[in-house]
Amino acid sequence: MSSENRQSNVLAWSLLVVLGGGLLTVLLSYSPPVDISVEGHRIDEAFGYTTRLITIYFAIVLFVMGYCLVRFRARPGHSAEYIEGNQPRHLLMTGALAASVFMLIDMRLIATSAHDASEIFWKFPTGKDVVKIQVLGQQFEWHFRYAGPDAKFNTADDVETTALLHVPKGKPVLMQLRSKDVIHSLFLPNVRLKQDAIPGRQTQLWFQAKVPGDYELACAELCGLGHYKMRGQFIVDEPADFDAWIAAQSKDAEEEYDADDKSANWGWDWEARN
Amino acid sequence: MHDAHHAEPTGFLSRVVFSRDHKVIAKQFLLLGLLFLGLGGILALLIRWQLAFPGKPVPIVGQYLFSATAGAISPEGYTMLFTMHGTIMIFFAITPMLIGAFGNLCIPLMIGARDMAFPLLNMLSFWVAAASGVVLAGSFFVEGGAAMAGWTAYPPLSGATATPGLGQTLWAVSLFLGGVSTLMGAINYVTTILMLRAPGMGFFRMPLSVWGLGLAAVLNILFVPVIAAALLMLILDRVANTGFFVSGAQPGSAGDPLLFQHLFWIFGHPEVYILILPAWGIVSDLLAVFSRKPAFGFKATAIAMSSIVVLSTVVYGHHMYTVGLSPGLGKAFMSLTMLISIPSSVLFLNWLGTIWRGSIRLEPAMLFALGVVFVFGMGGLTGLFLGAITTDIYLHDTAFVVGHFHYTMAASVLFGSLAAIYFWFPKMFGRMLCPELARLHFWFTFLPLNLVFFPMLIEGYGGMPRRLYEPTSYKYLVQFQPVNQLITFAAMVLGLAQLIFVWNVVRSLWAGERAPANPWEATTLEWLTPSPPPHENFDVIPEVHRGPHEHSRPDVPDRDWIGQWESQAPAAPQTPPAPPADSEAVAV
Amino acid sequence: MSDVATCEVSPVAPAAAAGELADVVGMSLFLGSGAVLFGSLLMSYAMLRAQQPVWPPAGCPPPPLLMAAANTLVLAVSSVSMAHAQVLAASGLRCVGALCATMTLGVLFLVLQLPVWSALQAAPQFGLMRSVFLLLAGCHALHLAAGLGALAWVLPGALAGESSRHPLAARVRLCAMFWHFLGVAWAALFLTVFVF
Repeated sequence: MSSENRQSNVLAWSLLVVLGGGLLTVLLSYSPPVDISVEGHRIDEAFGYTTRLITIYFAIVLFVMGYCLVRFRARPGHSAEYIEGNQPRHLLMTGALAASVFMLIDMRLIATSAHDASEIFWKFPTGKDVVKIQVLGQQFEWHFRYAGPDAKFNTADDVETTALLHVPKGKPVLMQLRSKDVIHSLFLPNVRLKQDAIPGRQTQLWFQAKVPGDYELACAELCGLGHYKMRGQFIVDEPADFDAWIAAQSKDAEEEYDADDKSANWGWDWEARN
Repeated sequence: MHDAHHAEPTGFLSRVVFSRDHKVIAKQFLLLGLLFLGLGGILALLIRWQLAFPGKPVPIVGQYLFSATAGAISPEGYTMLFTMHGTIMIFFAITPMLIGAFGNLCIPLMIGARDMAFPLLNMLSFWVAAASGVVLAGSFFVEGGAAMAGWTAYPPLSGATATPGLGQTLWAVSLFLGGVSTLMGAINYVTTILMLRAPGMGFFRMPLSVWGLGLAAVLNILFVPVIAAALLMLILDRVANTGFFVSGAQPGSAGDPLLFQHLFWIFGHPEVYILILPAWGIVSDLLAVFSRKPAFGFKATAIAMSSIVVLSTVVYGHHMYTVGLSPGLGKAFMSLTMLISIPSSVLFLNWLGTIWRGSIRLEPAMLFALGVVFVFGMGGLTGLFLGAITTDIYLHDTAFVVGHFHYTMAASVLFGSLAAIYFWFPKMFGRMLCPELARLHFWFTFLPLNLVFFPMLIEGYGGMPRRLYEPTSYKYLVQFQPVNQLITFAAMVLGLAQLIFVWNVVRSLWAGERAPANPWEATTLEWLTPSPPPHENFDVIPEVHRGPHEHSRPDVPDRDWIGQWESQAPAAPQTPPAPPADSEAVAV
Repeated sequence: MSDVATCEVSPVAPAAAAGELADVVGMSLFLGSGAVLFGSLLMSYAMLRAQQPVWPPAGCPPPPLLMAAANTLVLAVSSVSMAHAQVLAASGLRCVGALCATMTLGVLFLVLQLPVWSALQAAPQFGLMRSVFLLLAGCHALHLAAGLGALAWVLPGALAGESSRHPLAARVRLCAMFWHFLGVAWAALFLTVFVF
């Protein structure tokens, strides 16, 4: 390799590293929406440590690859070494490395994720202070229903909202989801959760918010041409504000209630199906 | 009937169009795949335009394609674009290229057969694939346009009520035909590998490309019928008023939309491996050839690929963590999914073992093979987050998923195909490609490709749902608009860079240097034949004496390879070979 | 299928024997994927049926068991005559009669399906019973029609009484494999849709 050639190679690589590094820094400065839930940090943490571990792992792989490409490049006087890699010691080494990677990275992720899934995110709260909400997905709007003062769904005092979800801070919120037409998926980026709403089925979702504020909710599953418009407002209130809001809305709802309007009274008995 | 010589057909039709010669069919599949790759790529650029500049008229082509909306892409157009992009790329671009073209080219040549076991079936397989491609491409021109339910076509969205119109039905019919074609090919591949290996070609002497292609064919035989069943039901739901996937809001009211998802992913997850297995095999072979070493841990690689085949059949549930699986089922699917990382690690370690202490020749094919190691690493590792329940709940249906599967399916499989093209082009067409242009092509593909797919991971972690017509419709996503524009510019560069490849191929076909029989000094049986191989490949079926990557054997003097067909090293001086050089001596 | 794959094909050239063996292997793979197809369809049916509170669904007539039983009987007899044709062809005897009998019974099977089909037309649109029957029996009937086509393809050779008996015997064997597969698939279908 001529020295000129080599110089331009070095130049190209340094440019690449500087540009790539700069770009990477900018990209990595983006972070997910602020986590406002009690349990959402579990997902961030699982993501975080797995990212760190696989970055190290991949860096080692790339380092070895790069080393080989420089050190074992074909050149006069250099020849390859005949290694089949089928000896027991080779297999043992490969197997041990693969198994240790599995135990270090995967097992930890499996353990945390399995625990968090069955003990936290998919273990649905019961009890008196649970705020119950029914959710109906429909092209291209999310509908939410609160039982109102009588604590019964599909009655005159139900509060129904469209593309607007109010929840109180500090109380577990349990939702039952159904869909009227196609599959939708309720996505709350700020609590790190999503749950499909599927016609013919009922699904559930729960979370507990801890930071009051005005956030957004989305539809994550392609549901038709208006999919991108299926956004909603997601408001976390102080408990007192929430109660006041429910009371006011419920009063309005009772005045406008029409028992014959089937499509407006889309709610269902809460305990109907699990 | 299979060993006997057949006279070469002479007519144009029987030689070029309706040929039963596996090498001609391979070229036909390659052409089909490349044409659809170009189409799918153009669709991708249009998608990218809309994401970077929502609602702005598309420059140059917009006024012709979207004249009704003054050159801007409508929600209908956008949905159609990404649905067809996915379908075309998976079933009509990379499937024909890797499995159709290189399956056809490599399997008979590498195992020492004159042709496939069923040449007529092979020909039909191509023409059914071509017909299904015509049906799919034609669906753009029917009333209401092409399919609009995503490439996953989940009902009820893909049903007759939510997506009326002929386009979606043609989509299903076209995929069904594609499945028939794939099945024909797969039966042919497996039978050929089982029955037509040259004498001495044991399973552990087959090149890893044949292992990958053969295992992919086994998966195809097992799982194409599953998607065929789902498509049959979807077609019946659309045209015959059946109710498999139709359901009202009331639980248990009739059919079940989730049934389709189960069937789709029972097929769909193996499909990922159907596409990546041939790429793994090809990469394993190429790394050995260009490192002038045997493939490290050959048997372990073959067994790792086989165990991934087995595991791939029982992990599909990780695509459905958000549908309301029971925690027990979810955890079972998660654990099985994660097990795949063990054989995957074995593959990586063996790849590194192969280039370790090699004598690496950075030919273009080798660059692309090394590129696969990188992009598959990215794809495989980001897959961890999607295999684990809790991280997937957040990342599911976001741009993270898009970035992840483009790294695995698009980048790895595409690089595998390009590596294969640069490696076997001399054998296929008897001409050498220009290596300088090829290197340029590599760097202008590899770098922009990462600029396209890596930022998608960032956007996905930022919570951007996929398939959004207007990402700016969410306030929290507005900050990602510069990233979207970066991706779009990178995608344009990526698209333009493919012109280098097209030019290289066209130029070489007319004016390329004539290829010798064995330009890469490789050891597998296809390099025994002239370039291009004659009708029926071999004058005499060769006898196989050794494994597929016998490079740099100490007992072979003078050269660093010995072909599988050579009973002994060519006559050479009796001096014992020098011990393997562990030279610290010469630096670059 | 392994017993078929290993059955001897003695006094022929090894090349032809290898070719015939490849045909059997190819057919076995095809039938394997056919089994997955019918398996997937039956599994889907099971999943849909399991979600229904009653079966057959409310408002749907029960499937016509008697007609279906007649169908089953016809197909079973046709499998016997197909097996007979295979034995005859393998020993070099004329098998035209047995082949024709099989084809006739196959056509009879399709004709006997018509009343079953029209009985289910009465079922409501989107009704699961109608859907399932359309899918399973329709898919089976299409495969059976293809089987009839295959038999028609070997018939000329059988009529001419080909001198070299092996190509004919090999072809009849392939047809027989497919035909018996159709019999087994129908049996599974009959038991799950009509009986239980």
